[in-house]
Amino acid sequence: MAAQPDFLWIKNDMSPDGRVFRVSRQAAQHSTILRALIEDFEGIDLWKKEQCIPIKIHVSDQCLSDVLQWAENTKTAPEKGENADNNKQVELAAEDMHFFREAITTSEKLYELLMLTDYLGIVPLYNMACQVVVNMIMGKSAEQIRRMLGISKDFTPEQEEAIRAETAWAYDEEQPPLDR
Amino acid sequence: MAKNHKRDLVTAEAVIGVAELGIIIFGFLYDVNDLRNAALVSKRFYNAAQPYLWAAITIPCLCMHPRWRDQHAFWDRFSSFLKRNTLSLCVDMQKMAPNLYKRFTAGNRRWESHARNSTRSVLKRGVDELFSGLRETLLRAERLRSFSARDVPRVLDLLILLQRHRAEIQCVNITASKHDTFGLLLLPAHDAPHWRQKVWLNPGLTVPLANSINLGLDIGVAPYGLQWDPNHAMRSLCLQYKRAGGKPLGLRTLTLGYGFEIADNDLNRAITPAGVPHYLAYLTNLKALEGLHLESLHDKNKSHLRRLSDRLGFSLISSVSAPYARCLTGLRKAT
Repeated sequence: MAAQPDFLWIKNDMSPDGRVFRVSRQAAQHSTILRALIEDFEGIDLWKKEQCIPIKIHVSDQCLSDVLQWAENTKTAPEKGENADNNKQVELAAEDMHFFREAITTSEKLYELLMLTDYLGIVPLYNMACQVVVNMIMGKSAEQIRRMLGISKDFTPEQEEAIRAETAWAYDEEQPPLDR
Repeated sequence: MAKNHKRDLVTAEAVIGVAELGIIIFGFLYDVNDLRNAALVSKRFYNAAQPYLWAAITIPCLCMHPRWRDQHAFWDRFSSFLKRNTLSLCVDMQKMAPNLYKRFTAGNRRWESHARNSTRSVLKRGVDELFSGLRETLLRAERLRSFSARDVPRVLDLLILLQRHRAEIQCVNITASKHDTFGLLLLPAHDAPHWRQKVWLNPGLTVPLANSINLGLDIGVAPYGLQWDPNHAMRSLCLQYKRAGGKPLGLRTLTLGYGFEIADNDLNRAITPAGVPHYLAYLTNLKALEGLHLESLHDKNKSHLRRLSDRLGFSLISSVSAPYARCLTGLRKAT
């Protein structure tokens, strides 16, 4: 039996020119989706360029390229059945910090990265992106978050007051409860 | 067209607004203030932050809060959140009911009988209402896995409440009030093995009664409907406490009210250094005890009291087992 080629192909289906990207077998191991595809269709024509795997979410070619480059550069892919835990605080290694500094220069790119890593199941990079978003939010007031992320307030004053009332335990230093 | 769509989609709001993504992202936020601020950003942010805001809560108050315009109690007002999201519940008396806390701890270094004291009755009603509110809250928090309480009186009542309504709970951490003048109640023996198996032996369970300085026990402060065996209550309490792995407390005062008398027969057993310790020693270190108050003995006839006094005086209070005990209120009044 002939050895399988070492690359598969991914097409950005939602970009205007449908650019195709080459992904090494090793890099594909970072993605739970691609890993499952390789396992399920190993003997079929998965490795031919005309059988490229479509990406069906709105992300830029640049984002797809950056993510795939990260996967190529990151040698230690998780073992099969092993996924990084979600919702655990993540510390970014030096090379990952470098990746975020160089490739993710705007909020828009960061959110694209979140969408794409979620779509492809690249858990470590997804968790890092979540942590970066959270780091942006931490310690800021609602108004500061709105300004930073360009979000407009869509609550009425009554709705906002209702939310504050719901989360009253977080205000315990402002107003003591009325007990008898 | 597609490009425009993309620009609309990939924004912070859009990403957080994707239910799954938003919930995962906010799962990285641990500080409740950060979560609260995030919830106030926009409706989409609120939806993503809400499950985490309600996952671990400290009850602000059970009945009224200045921010709640309606008159609904906590458990009614937030029933759906409690049901859906709450995994961990914290009750801190000083935050939740500071006035009640102040009143039941104020100046009372020693437990006093409630029966002849109207203030005491009012306080008892307040504590009963507190327990009723906690019960309603526990009933609604179906997914509760962790419970902690600080300075709540009647800590064993609290354990019984948890046992009855949330037996599946995995972690209990209760810090007894230093001035719990309301006293403990018995753990029901028939349920105890099941409870212990589930919770008591769990390393997550801590009931540091050792914080207690004063302890008062009286059937009169028990909630309605409690099954009671007045003949053996005290012995049973001490033995159950020991069997449950409790170490002797370091009480300075112990007050035994109605229903918690030391059974007469037990007093016949002299306590000597070589002898078998009195069962009270399982509950508290008698050497550290400064005052033992027997509140309900006034109901008994005088001769009986004298007999008790002698026996107590020589066997329990004045013996080497309790060298520092000075006060024997109930007996002094009568003799």
